[in-house]
Amino acid sequence: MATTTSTASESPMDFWGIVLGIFSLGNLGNAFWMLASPPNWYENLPAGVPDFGPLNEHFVRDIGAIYLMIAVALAVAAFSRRWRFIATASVTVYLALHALVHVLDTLRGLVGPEHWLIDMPGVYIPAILLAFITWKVADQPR
Amino acid sequence: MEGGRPAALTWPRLLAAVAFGGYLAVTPFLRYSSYGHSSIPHGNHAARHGGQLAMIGDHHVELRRADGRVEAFVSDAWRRPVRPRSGRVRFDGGRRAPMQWDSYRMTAADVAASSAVAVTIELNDGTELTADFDFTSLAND
Repeated sequence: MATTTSTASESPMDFWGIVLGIFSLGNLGNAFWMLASPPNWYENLPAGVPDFGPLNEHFVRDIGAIYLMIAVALAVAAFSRRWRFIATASVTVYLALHALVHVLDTLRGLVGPEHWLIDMPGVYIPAILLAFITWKVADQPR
Repeated sequence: MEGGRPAALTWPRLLAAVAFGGYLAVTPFLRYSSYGHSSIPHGNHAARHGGQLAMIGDHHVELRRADGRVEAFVSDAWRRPVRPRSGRVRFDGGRRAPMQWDSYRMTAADVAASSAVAVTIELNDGTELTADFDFTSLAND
């Protein structure tokens, strides 16, 4: 009979696992919203999306696919300490680049200066916090 | 947990983790003071779609002519997109055409030779928005 052993690297949820797991659910919801109804997402996400230009349903679904992958990566990070750092770091890279695009588009005037505040909760803060989490989990046992 | 083995998950830490994760997950979807379009009513009168913008009362209509279509983007005082009940367009005071909702704007077939386009939009509360757009300079290009 095969036996299994529980190790520190694959033990049940810890603090960061719970944080990443719930964050994964938020991204999963966003992904399904984008994939299911791009016009509804475009009009109703409280992030001033129309400010950036007219709706392109194909591109919204493209980005929805990216957010689905982000949700999967965060779920992997939540449940597996072995993969936590690399998964979290990967998502952090995307969120940082996404935030950089918003910075550049705001600086070049594509959107108004009100977007510094508008983009704070959905773009800048998640990138900063996930970078912090990546730093915190970097030295966790794997 | 500061490196090494993670600390035990006590109730306070569990609640903190749920709150932290919940913040990350939910905050992007919450509506807050600036809502996401303009921080004040009529604080943004820029044409966003490459057309002409008209303000009618507390609403805005941006009209764009592209690819043989006339497109009307309707928004409220904060420039939040609005889906109207119906719309119609009139070219040079003559030919009329109904507008149809298409994903995120009202559209109708364009009459390319026309320079004056009048748009009437009916909102869901029965309010009618009428605006005249002059494309004379474009017609002369």
